[in-house]
Amino acid sequence: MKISVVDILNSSNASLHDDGIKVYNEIKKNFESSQKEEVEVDFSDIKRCSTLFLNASFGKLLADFGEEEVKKYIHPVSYAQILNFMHKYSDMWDNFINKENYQAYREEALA
Amino acid sequence: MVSIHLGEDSILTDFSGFRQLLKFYETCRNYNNAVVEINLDNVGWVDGNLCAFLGAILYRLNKENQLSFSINAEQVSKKCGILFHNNFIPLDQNLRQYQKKSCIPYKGFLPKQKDEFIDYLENELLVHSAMPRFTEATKEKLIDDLTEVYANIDKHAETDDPFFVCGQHYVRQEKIHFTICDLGVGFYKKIKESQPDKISTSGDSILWAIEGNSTKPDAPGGSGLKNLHKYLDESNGGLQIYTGDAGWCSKTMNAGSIYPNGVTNLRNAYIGSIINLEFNKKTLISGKF
Repeated sequence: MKISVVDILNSSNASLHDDGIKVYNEIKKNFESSQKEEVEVDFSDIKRCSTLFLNASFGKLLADFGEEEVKKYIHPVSYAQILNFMHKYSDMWDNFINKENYQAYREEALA
Repeated sequence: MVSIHLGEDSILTDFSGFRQLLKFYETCRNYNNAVVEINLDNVGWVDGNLCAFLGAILYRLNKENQLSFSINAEQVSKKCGILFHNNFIPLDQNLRQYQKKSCIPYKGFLPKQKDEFIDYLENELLVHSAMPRFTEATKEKLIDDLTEVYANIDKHAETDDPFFVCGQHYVRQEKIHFTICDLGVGFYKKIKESQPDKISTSGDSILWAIEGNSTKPDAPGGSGLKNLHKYLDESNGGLQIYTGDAGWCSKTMNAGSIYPNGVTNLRNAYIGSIINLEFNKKTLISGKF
């Protein structure tokens, strides 16, 4: 299954926290209803992507489903045109691993 | 028509300059349905980038007090020609003659104009002839951090009113100031709701935000201001934030008891927020940043 980021955002800038939440909601909805089919998150036509966006989309998926599931089933694709995408993606992953440092993740765990 | 002094001295991008503009704003608020002449008699100079703040307060006064404004064009030409040069006062004639390379144009954006704002950052601010030639990675980082600042206006400012931006290159000082000003609820309200025990003043809320904290409940965020502070500090520039009755400047953080933690009281309150970035061109063109 492929999910197009540009179609969800109607914008070539995946920059905001709210942008990330929109994409997170769409991926989560599809992933939960597809009985663990692989999901390709397609960044075609996205020009810019921030760590903030990735924290709010993939970071929240990591919090919900864990590292194993996300690594196995949810993949970003077609991001070559985005400067430093993989660097930012790694930052997002590190943010999750070091989640004890982040109030947002701590509060979610306690909720 | 009532005549109100814009300031008492040169209006610079510092605590004194913001205090003067806030005093002008407070004086104007005593009137309704009137034409206000912006009196420049006592003013020798206005920093061009402060047009972002001036534009915001005139917008609010027009909306809330139904005030309209006039200004003596001859006085502007003699004392504050910058208001013509940066398009704050638009001119129909001889536009090319007035526009100056040192000005980063005054503009307003609605909170939902994300793409337009990013386009402005990418194609007007960061490639402006006054700016050093940033590496693509630095440009990317600055756009991300400024977009996060913008995102906070969109998400937390609780307003549909526009925000205003303007920049100015000060050639002799080799500095570029860029100011963003919104008409939202300011830092204090949201941060106080999120941290009721830690925050009791607008100054506290600024310090909390520049430490990289965030009110976002569901994923890490809040690094935009922290990153900008770090970048500007390391490159001998500076960051200033004004909200509520507090002003903060990275350069006065270590000024001891005069400005505890860099914070000062503005004597009047501004409901909204102003962020000023000072780029040190001399350091930046050294290539390390």
